[in-house]
Amino acid sequence: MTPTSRGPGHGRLPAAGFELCHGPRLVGRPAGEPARQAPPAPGLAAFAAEARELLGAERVLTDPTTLGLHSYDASLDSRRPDAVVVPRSGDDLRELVLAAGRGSVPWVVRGAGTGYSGGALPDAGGAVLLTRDLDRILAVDPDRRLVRCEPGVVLAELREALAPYGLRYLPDPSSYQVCTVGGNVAENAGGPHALAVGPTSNFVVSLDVVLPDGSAAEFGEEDVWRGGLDLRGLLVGSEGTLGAVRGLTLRVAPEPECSQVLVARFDEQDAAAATVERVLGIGLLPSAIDMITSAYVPGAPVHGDPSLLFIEVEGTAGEVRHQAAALTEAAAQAGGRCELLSSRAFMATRARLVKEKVRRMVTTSGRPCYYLFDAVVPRSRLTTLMAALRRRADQHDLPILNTFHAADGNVHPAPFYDPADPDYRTKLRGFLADVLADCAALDGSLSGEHGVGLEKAEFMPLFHSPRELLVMRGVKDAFDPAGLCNPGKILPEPDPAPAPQPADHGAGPVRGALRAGPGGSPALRVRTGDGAVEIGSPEVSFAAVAHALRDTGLELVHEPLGGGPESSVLAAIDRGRPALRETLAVRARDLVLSAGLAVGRQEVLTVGGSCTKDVSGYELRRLAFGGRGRIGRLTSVSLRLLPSPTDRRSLEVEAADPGQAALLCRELHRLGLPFTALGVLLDRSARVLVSGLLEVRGGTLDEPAARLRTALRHHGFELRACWSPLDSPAVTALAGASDLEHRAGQPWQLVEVLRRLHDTGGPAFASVGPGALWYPRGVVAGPDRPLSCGTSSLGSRVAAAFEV
Amino acid sequence: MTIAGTTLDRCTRCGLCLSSCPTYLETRMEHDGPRGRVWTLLAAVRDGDAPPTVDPTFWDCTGCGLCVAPCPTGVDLPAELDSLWSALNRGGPAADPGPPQPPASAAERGLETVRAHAVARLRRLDPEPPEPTGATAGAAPLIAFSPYLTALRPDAPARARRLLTALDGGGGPIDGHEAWERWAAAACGLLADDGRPTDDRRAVEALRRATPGGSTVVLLDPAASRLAAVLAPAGVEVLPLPRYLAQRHPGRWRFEPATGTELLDTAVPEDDWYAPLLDTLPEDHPRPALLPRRYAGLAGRDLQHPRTVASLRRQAEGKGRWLDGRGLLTADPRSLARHSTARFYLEGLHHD
Repeated sequence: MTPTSRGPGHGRLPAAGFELCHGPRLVGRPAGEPARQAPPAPGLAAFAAEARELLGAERVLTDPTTLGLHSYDASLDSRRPDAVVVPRSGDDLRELVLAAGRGSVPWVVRGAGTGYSGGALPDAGGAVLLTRDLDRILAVDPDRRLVRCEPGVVLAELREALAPYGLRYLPDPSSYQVCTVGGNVAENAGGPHALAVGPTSNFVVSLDVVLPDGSAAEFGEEDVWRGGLDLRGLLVGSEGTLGAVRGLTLRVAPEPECSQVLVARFDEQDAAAATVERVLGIGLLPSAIDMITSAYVPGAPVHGDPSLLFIEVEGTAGEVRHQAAALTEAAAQAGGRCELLSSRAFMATRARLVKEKVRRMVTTSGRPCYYLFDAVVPRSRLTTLMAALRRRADQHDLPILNTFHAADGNVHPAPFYDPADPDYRTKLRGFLADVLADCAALDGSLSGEHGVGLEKAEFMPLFHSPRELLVMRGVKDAFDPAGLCNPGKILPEPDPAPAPQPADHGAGPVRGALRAGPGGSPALRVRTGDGAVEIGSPEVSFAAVAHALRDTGLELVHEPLGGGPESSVLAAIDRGRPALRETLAVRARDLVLSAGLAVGRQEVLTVGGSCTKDVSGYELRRLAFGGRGRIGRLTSVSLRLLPSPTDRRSLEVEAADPGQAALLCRELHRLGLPFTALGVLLDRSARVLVSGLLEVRGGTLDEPAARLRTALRHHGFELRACWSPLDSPAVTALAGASDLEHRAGQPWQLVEVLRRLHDTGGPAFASVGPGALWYPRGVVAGPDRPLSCGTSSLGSRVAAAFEV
Repeated sequence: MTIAGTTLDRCTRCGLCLSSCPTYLETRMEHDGPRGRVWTLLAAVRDGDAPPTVDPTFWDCTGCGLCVAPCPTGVDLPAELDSLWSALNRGGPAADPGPPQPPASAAERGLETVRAHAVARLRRLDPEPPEPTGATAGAAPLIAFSPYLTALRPDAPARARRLLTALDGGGGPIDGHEAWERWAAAACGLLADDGRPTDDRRAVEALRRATPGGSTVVLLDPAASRLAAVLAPAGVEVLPLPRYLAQRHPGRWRFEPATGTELLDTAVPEDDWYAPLLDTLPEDHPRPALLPRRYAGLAGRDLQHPRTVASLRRQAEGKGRWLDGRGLLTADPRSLARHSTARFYLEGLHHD
């Protein structure tokens, strides 16, 4: 690891208020009501005194201005804290959580305060803990492609720090210039690039957390393979309500060789939306597809304001050339006026186009402000929702723009309002409620990236069954029995009541009702338009899924190591089987969109939903991967699909020994070719192989294959063999292992272990990318390392929350 | 104090301004960002407080204006602070407590002297400026520059005039232009910043009357940028010199930066003062790099609140340390005074 430092800490802090004073309440909104404030906790004075003792008075701010300045974020809400505290380090953070616990003072951690759902607002007053000074990038490991940092690191600074290594961190919310990694983890932030690679959760390797009781805990992606639950996956997106992150390890990716953005202008919204379908239909997987609709002003047709579509493609120069040509053709056929830009030039162009649009809207509508929220529907329902949005705009007399991550169905309606209008809040809330009801009726999700926070907690019952809400409440209680950690968020108060039916959508099923219909889920159903497959029986095998998908242009990117084509998909998910192609950012664990769980004799509980982007409430579905029956018997899953590759080549090279194979792996890894699987394989005949799979979605692999041949010829090897992922030598070699042992690291870092495994003659696969070595547990005498660590007591409490 | 007619209540708290604000980047505290300053002002309005009695950190705003472009709804905080400062000083010099601390560095002391002399000179202007004859639409443009430029690069206006005369086809000097230029300098904002709003208003109104509608004014330095707002109601086009050259005379001039020019005095790639210059450089010519945003906030108005002055000085010193002897290409005469390695852009401009 290469340590990096940002040098000395930040400069001065504002003058401290030495007294706890409750001066005049200050507004969070210009024409709105004053920031709400809960009565201060009785232990507040003692907490503040302890904090001053620990940090010095200048880091414990209680003057009215400071409290006011931390009473808002980008949402419509505001809540006033009683104290703003600036810890210097993760240890300080822990001391503060302990002190808050002693005084029963509620607390919430705040980064840059750019969240849209009120996640960092102190609903119950108490302390706001700033991550301002927890801003160190601790280490960059270019070999394993990991970065370790503190939660206050700003995304833009992370980008800058990674650039010299040719690496980048992919999640890119629009506030990346100022928002912090900690806030991104809390909200499971997405951004345009979430389309191809998924949201923040996919990149979080481990979290160092201060739990609400003040104890420290580390949650990592390995926990699942060591017998634990994926509490890491539960923590990400929990909106800071389950603990305070004080350190984290993130996975980063190499910069693409080439990237381009197609900007297409359409006169009609629907033509732009149709282009999205067409692009995905021809098997392309762009890195981002964003759209901004033309202005919609009720009763006043807006002329000359185009709908804009931005599609980014990345990869090798040849890949990008081919994909850009295919995109341009698809957009032009739908009537789009196209322009191709480099990604760098695009950023400036996009900013200009968006600003022009907003300014034009302000001029046309005479309303200078806008309110932005997010919601999701399955991709196939996007055009229906867009029509519904226009209806709702008419109904509430609100001009709207809509900017969205089109291929994920993640919309951001932006109604424009005049802050001088005394009723604007009521109008906006009414519009929000109606649009969310529409999304619920379309089997959508409450949020794809903004989170629930304060903004949408009251709408949770529209999207989640009362039982699912009770489980969420149980999870919160398992982590935070005292209810001091960012209280008042996500879950509605009082406790979940039966879902109100959407006002005028009698015909539309409420989410949840659709999933848990009479007769349960079908054994196997492909939702081609949404890019998902539903599996409702343990009998369904990977081969059966592949068969069902054969003409759809889609595939399930999961070939279970330790299983095989005939093994049960449900069993593989339940066991948390790793996949062969984990080099892709979307890994087996990230495929789960929803899960049906049978607990005791009760009706099946469904967690999650139908959308590819879904951060509504606690992400309980993540616990289904590697749940091993502990949160209930897995009866069904809905899994995300990806477009099938347009070209695929496989590589099998025999090496003399594990050392030579590992070195070759490293060399191939550094070539930057589109490998979706690559590793050192010790097969059952005691051969040492370098086994890999090259894939491309759009275009052919001729150019990368030529580069690969050149590289191998230099080593005296040749390109051989060809197999489909499910029949790959790695899957075959490990098939039948009931449990796999796991070690983290790239093959060249694990040569000694590989040698010992080779000596015992056992199969093993050391995979490049995520960096993991897999071998059957118990089949061979494994090298010295602790076996399963079992379920922690916290894990047991979380599992118990499902027994409602 | 009222918010009617201002842009302040358009703020939606999205925070997209924060990353462009040099003082926020300095501390990463909400107090020191545009969003916090807008909030503080609005809170003061609501509570009926006079701004200096609430938290005064918003006077740390350097007025650089870098927050205006990223704002989706068009909040113009520097303009609002500018008019607030004028309102506070209405009827005489600043009523605000206490003079700023004397500057520590020689450069800042130099700028103080320049400012004091300029203000004294500008106040003596009398009577009204003449309307320059020959300055109409399509004719050679008028040139305008700040009092800083006159003090720090006295030969610059003549140099610019020669360049423009050659490119615009001659016609000789315009009658009355020198008097007009003195009044333009008076309307650049220095009088207002010095707490002399009456003198400032007189200069602004006189300049508007004296400038023919449809004419073009070319600015020689960004410290004169306020003239764009001053002359907008008179129907006058105001352009920075580099932008004017790029628009009106493409291919007829060239820019040759001094050797050792490593950095541009801006953080904005499309900055009107620098982008047109770089566009003329040959492909293989080394390109000066942009400043980090935290050092790019010194080209704003000189709001003379003691905190503003202190904030500007702190940042100027930080920038000086960061430059560490590297050559800086600048259009701002104040940077020439502050940084010994700064080179003035006008000296690299030549006509073909």
